Amino acid sequence: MPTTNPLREGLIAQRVPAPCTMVIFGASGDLNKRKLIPALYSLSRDRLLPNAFAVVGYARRPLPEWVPEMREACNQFARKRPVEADVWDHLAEGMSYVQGEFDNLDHYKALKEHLEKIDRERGTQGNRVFYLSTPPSYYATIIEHLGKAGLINKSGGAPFTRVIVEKPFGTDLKTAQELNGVVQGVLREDQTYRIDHYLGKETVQNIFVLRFGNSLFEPLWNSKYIDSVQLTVAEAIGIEGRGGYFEEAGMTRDMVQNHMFQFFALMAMEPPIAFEADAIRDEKAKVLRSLRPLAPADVARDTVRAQYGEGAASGEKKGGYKSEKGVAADSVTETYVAMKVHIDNWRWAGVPFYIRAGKALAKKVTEIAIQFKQAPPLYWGDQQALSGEHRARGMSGIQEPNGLTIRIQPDEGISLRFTSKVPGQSLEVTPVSMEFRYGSSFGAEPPEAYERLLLDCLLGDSTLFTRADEVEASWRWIDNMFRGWKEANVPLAKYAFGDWGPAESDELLGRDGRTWRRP
Amino acid sequence: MSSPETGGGSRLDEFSSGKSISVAPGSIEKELASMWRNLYLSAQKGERTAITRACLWNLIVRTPGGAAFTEAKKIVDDISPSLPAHVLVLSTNAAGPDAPLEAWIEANWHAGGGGSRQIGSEEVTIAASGSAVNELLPSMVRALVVSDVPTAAVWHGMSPSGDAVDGELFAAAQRAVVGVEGSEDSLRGMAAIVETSAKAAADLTSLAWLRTTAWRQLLASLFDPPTPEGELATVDGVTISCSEDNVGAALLTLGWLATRLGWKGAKRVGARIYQVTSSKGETITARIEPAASGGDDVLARVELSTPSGPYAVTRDGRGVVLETPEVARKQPRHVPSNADLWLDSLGARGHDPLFAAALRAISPLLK
Repeated sequence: MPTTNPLREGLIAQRVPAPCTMVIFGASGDLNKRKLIPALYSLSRDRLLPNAFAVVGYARRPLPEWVPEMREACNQFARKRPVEADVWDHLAEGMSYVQGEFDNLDHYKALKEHLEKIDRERGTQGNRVFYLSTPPSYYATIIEHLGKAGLINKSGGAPFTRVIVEKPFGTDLKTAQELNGVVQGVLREDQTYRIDHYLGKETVQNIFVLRFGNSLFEPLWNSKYIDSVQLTVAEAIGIEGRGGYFEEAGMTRDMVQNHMFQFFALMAMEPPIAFEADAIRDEKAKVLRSLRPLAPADVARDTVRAQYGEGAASGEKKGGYKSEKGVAADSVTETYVAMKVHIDNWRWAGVPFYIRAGKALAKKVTEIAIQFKQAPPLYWGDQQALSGEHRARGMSGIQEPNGLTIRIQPDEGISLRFTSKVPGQSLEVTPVSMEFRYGSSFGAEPPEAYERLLLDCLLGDSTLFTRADEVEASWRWIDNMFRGWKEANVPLAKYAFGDWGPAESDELLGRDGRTWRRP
Repeated sequence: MSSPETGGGSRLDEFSSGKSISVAPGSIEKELASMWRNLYLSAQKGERTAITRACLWNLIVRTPGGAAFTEAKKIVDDISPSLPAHVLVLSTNAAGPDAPLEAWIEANWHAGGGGSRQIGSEEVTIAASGSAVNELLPSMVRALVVSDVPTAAVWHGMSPSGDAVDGELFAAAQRAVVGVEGSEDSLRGMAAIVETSAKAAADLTSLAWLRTTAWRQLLASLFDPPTPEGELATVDGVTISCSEDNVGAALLTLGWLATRLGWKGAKRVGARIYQVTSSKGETITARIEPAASGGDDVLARVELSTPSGPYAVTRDGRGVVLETPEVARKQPRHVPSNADLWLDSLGARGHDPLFAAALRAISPLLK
């Protein structure tokens, strides 16, 4: 928001949004309770919301105690607990609940009247952010009804209207295109905020800073120096009773198409011309468009899908996926996916990117591991290949390729692996690690991802949100893989709960002479 | 004194539990290195929790001893979980009797992710009295600063006087923070530092300025929409209420308004009455009035008068009232602790160009 208030100029915390009302559709849901309202409370506590601000919850159920329930939610889920009474009271003054159906135009008209009353009473000036936190099947209905009820100002002038759409954005390319069609019929692209909470994480944003705020890494960030890249999202838990949802989604839709492809694109993109929304999103979209499509024959070779069976974790026996509530006895939904992908551009020609995501794995970790090419093994390495003179001089040990690992969660940080001499009279070498950990270097607690993303939307900054072409490019590649799985009848591999995935996944890398990292 | 390696199991235990250990001033670095090495070794053997030694800043805190020293040590403890730093706390009493330097080392610990990893940062305390302050302490400070880490110097309970220790601190520091209260006298000292360009090479800030941060933000918020654009150009008077020991902070607030709104030619026209000239050439009168005692915040009220009515921020119990000619609204008030302000001073707010500009704008009022 360009400031016209000279007292705002130069203030360190000048990122204060314009007056606004946020309407949350699906206000009775879990996301609202666990994430959205606690994030708004934290923003209010940090004095980052405008003085004139209101929150309207909208859902189908009657919820006369919605505001007190939201206070209790903040007591449970806010970053700083317990809730500070003064801060809550100030936020709660502007909170209200509207009961309504998602497909009833009259209810939207009532909502409009309610919002106009808030504008008069609280000075919110007709500015609106609508947050779609409902089941995805309602997204199109809600957006269409917002348009029909005259709740969207598409002109680009004041007052502003913005719509935040939760994931999943479509279930394949066709449905994503259909939803984009509906969205674009009612809203401009710059009014549409497709949220991917991974982009709100500090460590994901730090990928950009690491690459473009340092001169050390970027010269090496290409196929000349990088051997391969591994991206891992491992969850140590199963589906935890979400069988109904997960049977429809599977691991690829739940994690890879959105979160993983987003941080993958940030890791692989070219330097944008500016730190601006469209400049960055242009570069991310280019990466996703450059993904080499998988031919059906490649799918069986370069991808693995698997489902967890019985096993053990943390010393406890665990049941398999099919024993979960809501899962069909003959389910073929993948809880693990691994794939080798190539980016067909100048920078990454010939560099394989290995992506894996799974439930019920050995431990919870999200990371990007970059393996650099091996230094010539002239002096250390294969002892048999070394000259007698080298061996006589004690030149021994393990010379591993350098590695840079960006840990996104937990224990966020960066680790650089290099070879060092072992102290002593010989020239023995060993790999060592140089560690940077957010937790120890910066004591300050980072904001929750939703705090950052909600604030950005209120400010009109869409840098950390995904654009229609990015969504469609990622679905195009994923759809192709799904088609390959079907046409080639790729079997569903098995792995035990608490393991690191199926043997087939190890073979995927083994064929290239590589192994998965053990985080 | 026994070394940690030779019988110093108890010293290592004391260090790992955050207690202060007396060391010979010439052996501080050696003792610290030995402590960390032995902690790592005992952690590898499984005798202790895994540890990490962390350092984001060299933080040198100069105090005149006494209560200010005790308070500074407490603040260092309070900020250590949020700011891993290599801390030197100096107790300097140049007017005291000549005595040898005394030194202590300790570690500040907090739990890492999951509570399993202990993260430690080190704290060195040096007491100097008499001639040792200027003859011995500067070289010691020079030797103890960790390389490749930015340095911040904080004066707590005293202003920089320009002695040899201050010279060393200004030479080492990228960030200089004066922590004395916001009195007019202390502000004069700050203005003198700003005018001495060599000393102002470090980013300079004061806790008095940082205490006004929330007030400046609240004042700014009064002029966000829906307040009509241009309303600030009609301001014809300023009244700031505060206690006597916060007059410096009130003047800084006035200086900030002057720089933001293009007011020039600040002059004193009476007891705590000042005049500036607006960009349209009109005279604006500013007053600093005594506030009722008992307030916990740096200011009690700031009012900007305009032809359409007053725009004011007023302390009110645990809240603050924001008032425009159209509406009055109460909201919660957060009074930062000294630890909050120290953290602020080492963050983005510690190199705030508005501070130097505000100080320059009111320097004629300090003479």
